[in-house]
Amino acid sequence: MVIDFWDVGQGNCCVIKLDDNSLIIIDVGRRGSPLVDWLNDRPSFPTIRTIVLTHNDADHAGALPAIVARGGASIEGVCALVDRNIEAPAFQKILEAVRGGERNGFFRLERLERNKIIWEDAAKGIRLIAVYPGMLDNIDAANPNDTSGIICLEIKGKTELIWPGDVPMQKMGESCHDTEPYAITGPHHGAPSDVRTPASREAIRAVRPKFNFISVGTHNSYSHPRLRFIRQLEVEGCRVRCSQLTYRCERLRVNARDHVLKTHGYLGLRAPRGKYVSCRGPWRLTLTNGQFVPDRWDEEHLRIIATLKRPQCLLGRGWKRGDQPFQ
Amino acid sequence: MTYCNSEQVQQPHFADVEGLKGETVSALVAKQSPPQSDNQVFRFSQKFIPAEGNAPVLRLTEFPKLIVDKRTMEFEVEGWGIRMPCSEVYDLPRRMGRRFIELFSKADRQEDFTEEEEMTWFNVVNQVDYDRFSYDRAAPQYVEGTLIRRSPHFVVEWYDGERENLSPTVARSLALIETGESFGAFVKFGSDNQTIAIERVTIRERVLQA
Repeated sequence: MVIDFWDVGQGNCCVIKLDDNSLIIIDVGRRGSPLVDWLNDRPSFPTIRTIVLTHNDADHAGALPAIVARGGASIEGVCALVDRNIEAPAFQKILEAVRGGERNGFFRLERLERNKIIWEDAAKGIRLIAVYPGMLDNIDAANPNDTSGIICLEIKGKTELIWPGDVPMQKMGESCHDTEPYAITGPHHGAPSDVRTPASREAIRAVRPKFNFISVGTHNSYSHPRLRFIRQLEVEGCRVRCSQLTYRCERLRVNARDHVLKTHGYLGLRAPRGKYVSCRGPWRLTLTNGQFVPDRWDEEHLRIIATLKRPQCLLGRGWKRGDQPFQ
Repeated sequence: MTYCNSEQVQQPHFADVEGLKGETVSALVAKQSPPQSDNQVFRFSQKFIPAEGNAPVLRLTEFPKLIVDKRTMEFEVEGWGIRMPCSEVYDLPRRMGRRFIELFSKADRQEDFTEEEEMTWFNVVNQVDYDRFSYDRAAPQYVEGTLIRRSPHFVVEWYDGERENLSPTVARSLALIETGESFGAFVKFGSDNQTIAIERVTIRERVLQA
């Protein structure tokens, strides 16, 4: 099993490649996502076991019509939430393509809900399960981010990876406490809505992830990721990997469009569109003998970010300029 | 080709990596760099390499360095793992394009690289505009949108709510669409997600009054 956390700019996208070369996709990125370019480049469209949308925002679900139009019968299922007014035009358009696919008998559209097993390999004891939201959480949520799905990859009963979409940290802490996963993503591009509250740090202590891959765009207008959140993670021993570089780490490098690593190329993936500057770029994990092994660009990445002016992830762990970077 | 003194070519400088486990790729690359003392270094003054016929073009970020071995009259392209006789220098762009596609195909299929291939691919990706190659190569993607206005420019609202002014050349493909009409089409996106071509247009439904 190979897991690619794609760099799609300000958005989320992850592809799990199973041993039979079929795919599970968790969020697809925005319109013009490089994932679609990559899928279009396959000689035959790969079998997609399921496409899971943590929620239906454009930066997570925007590329869905393009994938469905190309994939057709190669897609076995789509798992999504009803997290907003179904009359909203953008929501209508995103789901219209999926409805068409189900009407044509290509695939099934299923509701994402707590305890739903999205995919399972019983022989290896691996399963992908939704742990949030429940029906009431979905109804009571004040906005779509609050009811974002939390997806967990469990290996022999232990949660190893968590995709929390844009959910507040408190919800994640409640749903995934004491799991100690290998990695999580985001949530909310490194800016969960409750980052200023004590609940955020408590949730990090409750979950205790080893790594956090933050998929964030260089020129996003929301000040993502929040420095406070990066430091909270690093202080608690969670190592942060941001897909793209922002002004907060080094302005000159961003202005010069000087990528830290061109990991898209090294891994044979496609580059996101836009005037971005890649930092870690995409991140690949390979599951070998029940253990996740990251790609070999982590050390190279550390070596280069130690030359940046204010690398927020390193500063968060107490590193000072001139020190050797450490894992 | 431009001649330059081999002593003027700066050796790559790599940071101390003792604090890290194992060796970084750039450190390995430095180890494998050929000794340049007895060699002459030339600059190959071509930055555009045809990758698939003429398009997409592979854009190099710097001029390739050719290290000529005076004894054998062969040269090596720095970082590309290409060695060939000086008399065949005319064939270099094709060889570089071929080398790129060879390694790209392997990376694309997620095949295991040998140590040497991985280092070469690392160097090659760092020397080319991989982003541009990615967009140029990409096939059009299916999108839906609504034509909001036809004059003075064509304005389209895409299904995710984003509005875009289309250039007159691109907008020609929507000549048959009425204002307020919803359409589906295969769109080729450029570097900043802007539309650079629209093809295979279909009419969806009318959502606004003209």
